[in-house]
Amino acid sequence: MIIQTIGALFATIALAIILGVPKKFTLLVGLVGSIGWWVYLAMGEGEEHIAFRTFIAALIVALVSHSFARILKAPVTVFLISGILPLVPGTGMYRTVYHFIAGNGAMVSYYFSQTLQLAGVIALAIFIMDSIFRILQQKVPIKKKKKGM
Amino acid sequence: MNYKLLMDIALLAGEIMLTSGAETYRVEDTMCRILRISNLERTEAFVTTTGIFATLDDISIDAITLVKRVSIRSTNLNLIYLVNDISRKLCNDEIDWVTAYQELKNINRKEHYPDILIWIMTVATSAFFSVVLGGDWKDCAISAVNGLFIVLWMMIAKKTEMSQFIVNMMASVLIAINTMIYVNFTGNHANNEIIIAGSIMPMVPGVAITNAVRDTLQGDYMSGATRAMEAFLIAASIAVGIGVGLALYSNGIGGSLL
Repeated sequence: MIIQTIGALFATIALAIILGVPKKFTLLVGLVGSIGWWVYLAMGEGEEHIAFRTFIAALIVALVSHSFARILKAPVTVFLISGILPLVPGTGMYRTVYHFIAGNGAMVSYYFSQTLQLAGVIALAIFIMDSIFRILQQKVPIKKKKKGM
Repeated sequence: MNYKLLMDIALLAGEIMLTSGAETYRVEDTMCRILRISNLERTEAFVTTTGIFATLDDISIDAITLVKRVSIRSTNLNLIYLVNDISRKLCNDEIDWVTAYQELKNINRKEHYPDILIWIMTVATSAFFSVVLGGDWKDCAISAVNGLFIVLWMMIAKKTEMSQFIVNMMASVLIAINTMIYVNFTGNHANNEIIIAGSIMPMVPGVAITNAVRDTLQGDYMSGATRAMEAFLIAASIAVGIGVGLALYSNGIGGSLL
């Protein structure tokens, strides 16, 4: 698990550079990604509660991204886009295609719906955290004025 | 007051952000904030994923309306950050309009990572993501080779201006074939999904997914739907590529899928 978390740190940093994240933020972005992946791994193994784990991990990623964005006065996407990527269901996508080619119809629909579920759950997590921070922002109008996004 | 200059600043800022992959609502927000500095009665900005419209109007002046078609689409979060920074300084009166315009003009020419670094990082992303998914060092090495295929197609695409979808598809075909050959050669069947899922990570539509959600949340359904469509198409092009690769491998080369 430790190796995988460290892997997530480096993977997210590499991805952040591809996406053109400013140099001073790359390490923080890596941190966001590895925290998310650690949470995901810490809650279970394999496919056990996979949607719930992804949801919580995505919530944490969005929370940390928003906090960093507020503190450092940067757009939240800088942290969010690369931070969320380890959670994106690449494996589910692959399994869907694999079983499609291998001809297991039942497995195709199982993994396809799982992949859609995970994507939906990630969207929901970003949505919830965005809404929470929007409400917080409205309560502190002075801070909002400073932001100038 | 030179409202024309302010309009140019807003439009340039919007254009840079939109081509760098910012959410449309953020572009609208930034442009509106810049235009509102003028204190005129009517300041509007309307942004879609492919174009920008902006208007400044008041009784005292002739209306200024500009339209800008944006066709280039890429991802560069650094530019979004820098424009955001300039816009904030401008709105807080820390810099004047001419300086802001100059800084925006200069922004495009700097702050890009060199191509070679991007290529290395693409390979690194593939390699590290197979570690993330639980692979060992051998899986990591094969994923790095797969990352090289992606880089190869990125290079070809740059020369020929090929569509992103074709690039993803061709790279995925090579990734699938290469991985299956390795897996069958070593008899290490458990790891094929780790290697392939890790290798495709640099192509996964993270920007499109995130922006689709955030634009939809802001009530910008048109941009949200466009982004969701983009995300789905990119994912589908990768999936088709992997599928074709697996099919070619099992039927053409004659290896077993398992």
